[in-house]
Amino acid sequence: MTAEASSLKAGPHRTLSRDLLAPVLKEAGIAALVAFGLAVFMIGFRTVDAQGGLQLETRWSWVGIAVGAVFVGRLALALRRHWRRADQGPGILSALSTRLGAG
Amino acid sequence: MPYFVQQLINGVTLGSIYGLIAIGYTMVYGIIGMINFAHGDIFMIGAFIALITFLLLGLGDITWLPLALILVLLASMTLTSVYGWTVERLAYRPLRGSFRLAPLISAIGMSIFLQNYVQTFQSARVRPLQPVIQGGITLIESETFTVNLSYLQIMIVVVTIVLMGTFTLLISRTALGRAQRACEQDRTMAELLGINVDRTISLTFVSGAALASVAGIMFVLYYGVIDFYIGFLAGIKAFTAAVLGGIGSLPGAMLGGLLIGLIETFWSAYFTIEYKDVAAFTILVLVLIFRPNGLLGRPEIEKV
Amino acid sequence: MTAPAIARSTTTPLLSVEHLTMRFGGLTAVDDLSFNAESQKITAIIGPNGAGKTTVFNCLTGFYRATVGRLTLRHENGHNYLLERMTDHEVAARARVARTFQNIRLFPAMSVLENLMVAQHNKLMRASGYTFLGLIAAPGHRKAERAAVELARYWLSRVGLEAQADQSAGSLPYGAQRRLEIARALCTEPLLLCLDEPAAGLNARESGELNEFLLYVRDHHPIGLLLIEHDMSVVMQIADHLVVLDYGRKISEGTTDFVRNDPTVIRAYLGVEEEADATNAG
Repeated sequence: MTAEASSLKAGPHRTLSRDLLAPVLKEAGIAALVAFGLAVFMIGFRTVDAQGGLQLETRWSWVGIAVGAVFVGRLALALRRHWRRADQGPGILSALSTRLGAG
Repeated sequence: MPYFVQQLINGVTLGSIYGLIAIGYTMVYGIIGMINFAHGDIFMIGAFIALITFLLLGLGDITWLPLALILVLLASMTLTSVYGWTVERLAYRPLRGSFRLAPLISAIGMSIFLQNYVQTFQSARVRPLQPVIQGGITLIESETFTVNLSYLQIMIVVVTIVLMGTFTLLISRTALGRAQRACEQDRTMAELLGINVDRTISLTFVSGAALASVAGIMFVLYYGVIDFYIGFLAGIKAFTAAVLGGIGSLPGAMLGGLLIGLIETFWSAYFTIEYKDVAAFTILVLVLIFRPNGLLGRPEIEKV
Repeated sequence: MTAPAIARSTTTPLLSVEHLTMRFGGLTAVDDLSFNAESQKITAIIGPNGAGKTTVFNCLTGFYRATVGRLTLRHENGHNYLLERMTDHEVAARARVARTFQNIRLFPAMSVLENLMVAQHNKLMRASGYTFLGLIAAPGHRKAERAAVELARYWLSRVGLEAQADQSAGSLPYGAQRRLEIARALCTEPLLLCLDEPAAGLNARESGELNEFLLYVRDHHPIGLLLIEHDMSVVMQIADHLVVLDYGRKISEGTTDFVRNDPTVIRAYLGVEEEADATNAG
């Protein structure tokens, strides 16, 4: 009985979060891809002075941080916008928990 | 006479680089009526990406020059376009419909941001690049002066002519070009005909950035040194070129670029190199006094 | 609220406007308007100046976001588009609604033909592989361009502007500009064509020709026409269905004969002359 009730309760939540998740993830993914394009050369490589010209140093961790930050930031922005638009959307915590459960 | 010919060659080469950057200013002005002050810095980013690609290719032992140049062109054009797109998306689009000066101020901010970004992540010092394309043709040989036309100069001028031809074709013959001109004249109506105006504006920035990156590649090849600040002066010159030719006009940008390049070169050659910028800007002032719309500019169309 | 007395037709209507309300601050420009428009029919919205007719158009084409209401456009494949949720270029490109303006909005610096080519932007953009194929003159793109020119020439010949194809649109006389604007809207291959006072400023002969043209479009193309007119005489000759607005409310709806004899319409039209200038909601 309780299991049935909880599954009934979870049903609409899950569809809601799935509807919400796909476009939001896509948006954040695209932003991350753009960030990667921006960062891959300009941050990923650093020209350093060396004997007889320049040498390259790589800094992939920085690129990772930049891309990750953009992904998370864009995700947060998109989620906030979606929740504002939906009149009675789930609270941020319950939505996050269903999302983590679903993902 | 030989000296004159040499200066003519140098001036046309420099003018080509200015012309390519100027197209970016003129197209953006045409479509949204805004001076994209960050465009010079997009050019600088293009030069840096080209420099890094050259160094990478050197590490990868790609020595066949045409292949190397094509790879540099692809890398720089693609990645610089991403910068052009991002600048528009972050700094200008949110301000569309705001008061007229807002995107302009935002552009200046973006310009400073990009300079500091490169200064931080690359270096504040000048970045040298070993000559990649060497050699040339000796045109005139006299006992006092030898006129050289380097292969690099030929390449710069040829690439510029090809790109300008391509862009003239793009504006006049393709759906994108028509959409750009439609957005220039009546953005709302273009929207109502199903044109995605935001996307059209984005593509304008992207193509402007791609041209600026080509100019950046040429700059790094021609001068052999770049720093985070090259975008500022080159940007101002190219902007001047666009205004001189008539902002909003594509052939005007080319003509303006060429003129600025020639004026600067001849002034440095025959007078003093210190005042070459003064000469260029004096000509600008004179042209604007007598022809406020620039050499090839149309009178301002009343915008709705 | 008067119940929307929409005659149930056997076919589903192309456009359904349900309870459309548009408020600007305290001013209600359109108040609970419901009506349908069908394909291959001419539906006219009439009413005195300031009755909210243009506001209806602006809501339909994504110019304004309706305060309340549902605007459904049905495609034959069963796909429904809710116009009130779409941006204006989506309304044109996906729902396929085209409109013209009371004050003509051509691209004056472009040629007549180019004006019609711009209207076919999306399919040409796709055909040109987002520009690159267009630059190298790929065969697929050239074929698409030719087809687009053909469609443009078809509508040009229909509105009698074939000879002026290469002139700049701004140089055409007024009547021709109006016809060109309609031809341009038709080049977007719309399912619903919204015409905002198409006869405004035309002389009697031109206006007669226009009516004939609109009837031709109705009879030969799967397009629903929706037009706004404040001059009843123009509309009476061609409209299949009339919706009468006054101060943003629907006061009558039906066939021309029904509307012509409807006392509420007569009253609104007779008593409105002095007030017409005072309210300026449309």
